[in-house]
Amino acid sequence: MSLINAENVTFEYIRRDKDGAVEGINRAVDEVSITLEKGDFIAILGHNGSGKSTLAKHFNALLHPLEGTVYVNGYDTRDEGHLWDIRQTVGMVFQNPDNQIIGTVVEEDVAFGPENMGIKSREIWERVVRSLKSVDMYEFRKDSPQRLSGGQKQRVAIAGVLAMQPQCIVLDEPTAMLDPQGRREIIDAVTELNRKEGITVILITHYMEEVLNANKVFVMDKGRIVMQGTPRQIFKHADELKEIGLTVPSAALFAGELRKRGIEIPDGILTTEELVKEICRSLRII
Amino acid sequence: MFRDITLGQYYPADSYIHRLDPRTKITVTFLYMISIFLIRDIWGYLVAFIFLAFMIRISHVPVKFMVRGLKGIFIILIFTAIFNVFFTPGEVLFSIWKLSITREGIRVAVRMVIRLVFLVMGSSIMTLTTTPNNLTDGLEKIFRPLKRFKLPVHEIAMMMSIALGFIPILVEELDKIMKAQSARGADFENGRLSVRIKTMIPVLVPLFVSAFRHAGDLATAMEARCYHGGDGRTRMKPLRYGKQDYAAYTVAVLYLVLVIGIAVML
Amino acid sequence: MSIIADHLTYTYNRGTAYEKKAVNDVSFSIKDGEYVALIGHTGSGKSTLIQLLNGLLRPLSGTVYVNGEDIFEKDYDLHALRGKVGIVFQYPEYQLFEEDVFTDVCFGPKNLGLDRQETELRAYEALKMVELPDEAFFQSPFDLSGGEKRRAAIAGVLAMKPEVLILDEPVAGLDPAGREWIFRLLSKLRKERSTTVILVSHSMDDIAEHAERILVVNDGSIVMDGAPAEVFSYNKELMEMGLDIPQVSKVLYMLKENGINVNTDIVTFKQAIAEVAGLFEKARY
Repeated sequence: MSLINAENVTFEYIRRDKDGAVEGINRAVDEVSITLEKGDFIAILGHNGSGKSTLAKHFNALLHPLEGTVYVNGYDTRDEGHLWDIRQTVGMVFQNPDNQIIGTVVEEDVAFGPENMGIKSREIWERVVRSLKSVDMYEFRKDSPQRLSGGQKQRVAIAGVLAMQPQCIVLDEPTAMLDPQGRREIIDAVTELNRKEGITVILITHYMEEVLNANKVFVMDKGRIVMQGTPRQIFKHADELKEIGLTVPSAALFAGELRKRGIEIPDGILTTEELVKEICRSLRII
Repeated sequence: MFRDITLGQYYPADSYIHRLDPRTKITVTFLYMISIFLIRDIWGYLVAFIFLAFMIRISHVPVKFMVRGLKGIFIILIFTAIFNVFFTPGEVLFSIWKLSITREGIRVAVRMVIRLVFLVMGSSIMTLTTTPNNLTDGLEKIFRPLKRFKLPVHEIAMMMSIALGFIPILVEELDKIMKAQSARGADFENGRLSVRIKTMIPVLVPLFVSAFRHAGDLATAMEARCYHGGDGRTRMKPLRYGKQDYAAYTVAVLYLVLVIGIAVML
Repeated sequence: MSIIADHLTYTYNRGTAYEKKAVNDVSFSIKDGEYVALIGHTGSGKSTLIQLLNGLLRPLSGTVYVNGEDIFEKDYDLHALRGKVGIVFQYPEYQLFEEDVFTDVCFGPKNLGLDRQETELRAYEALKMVELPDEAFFQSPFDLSGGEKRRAAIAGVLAMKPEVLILDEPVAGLDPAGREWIFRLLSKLRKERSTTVILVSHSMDDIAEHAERILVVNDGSIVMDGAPAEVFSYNKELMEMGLDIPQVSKVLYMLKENGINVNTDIVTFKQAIAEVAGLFEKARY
């Protein structure tokens, strides 16, 4: 059984004017089908307003599809009886670090999820300690979240989700409001969770460099999935990506420009290291 | 400019007072407030002063920090003083124009100001040493019996806790918006009151929009973390009375007895 | 319009437990028409610094000279200064408040005391400049998409026709197309209005492409000041401050480490391509 299985999901936002008459219908998600297995690291790429966040909210029953069905561990997300099982299975981290902190002390905030699940006090303590340690925030447990940096706040938010012991974490543009240091912290933390603890990760972003660790990338435009594949496969299509307001990692862009000038650099370069290696190799051949 | 507000702020430290159960702190603060209204003479105030000074001392909150909290009620203090000095009938000391100052007036004014200062300082010891979450936990537990009368005790406590957490965020937001509109040439300092109220619209509209956005996002985040009201909810730090709480209750009761004793005897 | 910061110092929460020196004895001068980038990690003091530059905050000591005049002097007209030194704050779309976009953009010029005709003309020009579609002019700003809101908000500052434009992370949260748009707009402003630009940004790639000069802020002080090639040669120091260097520089430095003789003073993408392509030309002959 797949962890998450979305079948032909469609979702519409209805815009109404002051009198409540329907002014327009915006199809945010348009017949999307996705299957996720345990241990996957999935990235969803798309420009602002491409429907990626709306789709993500379907994975833990924050939104319900207008048409189609989403199954989490085999449960239909519309099934009220399993709502809390679903939200416990698929945790979610949001964009704005300030709008998802509930506690006034780091450890109290992390405990919020397990408290809602009715876990016994002693086990909550164990979970809080473990979660904070796995995002490297244990030493800040007594601090006020307001005094932390953006990257640290987001790591606390991830710990808050981990304390619910989910099988999957959805991160909805978790780095959009962070500086380069904070972004590195979050991407490293998420990658480690996936590799060491086998947690399924769904990363939603419009930063190309952040999806390189994913084993599968979905590209969305106008509510549809227009491309899917490994990062290497996706970033071969620089021109198509540009057309839908995206780009490719700069090493790939660099390699493409060199190729256009008749220099032999292979397809599918993603990182600076790979690029430099290929340039050196190519120079030696000549 | 709004950063000076200490109301509802928590002062992180590890003191005897910080470690007390919030229920203890709420109850003792309540007893202390009652005591202030029972006091009639200088001896009573002296006892209250010693009690207050002792509490501040062991709370590890700097006195400077506490005094700054009084800034917020400074205008109220002035009003109270002026009102009482001029409008208390009694033995006239001297008159200015149609107003006369009486001996009783001065006495009442001084007493009222001392009372207010004592009340505010006393209750700020409680808020400065207790995290908002802890405070609302305490209130929730104290008022739990009211649940029988269909009062949504948990919901009210949760709302209070979130509202307290919102204050610093909104203050920061307000500061940002005011600066942004000032950069667009808005003038918040000059002009008549009616004009000044109008100039607040460019600040208030974005502030409300932002408050709703914060609230909406927070609600979604809480839902995503399985929040579904107080039923079946457990706590990481369940409230439990310890030795220090019984000691605090004893001290508080002894203090109250002393104050009542002085009020009755003298 | 020139700006001189003269020994600026600013402290938050003075005299409390949370006292924090945000800006510490900072001096620099920015010439008319310069394109300067201000970099530093979150909390390094850059935001405080830009607020001092147009008098939104009053320094504890030191001062700012705009066109040679001390802006914290008693008689100085700070109100008029706002029209000359414009600030686009981070997430500027959160300041929109009027019933329609056009009226909102008029807010700035109206506050400057301009007459109705001039105000509306400027608003129109500004909205055209940010390339907002005409049908959005009389919509409620709250009905626009995220990217359109950002455009409308920036137009609100441009309508004041500032001679110096300070932008605090204008691309935060924007997708690649949105980022490109911002830099197109800044180039246009420099060309058509010779605006002086002070850009606060976290994106080293963007800065390398566009800025002429970089000021690096760390713990409230200016620790580096120079041309992009010069500043980005301090790779290790920048990383230690939680910053980064452009991808282009990374490629060139790594090539050099591999024993290839490249010019590491290059920071823009085009030049770097030319440099690497040149290596192959040379190798062929």
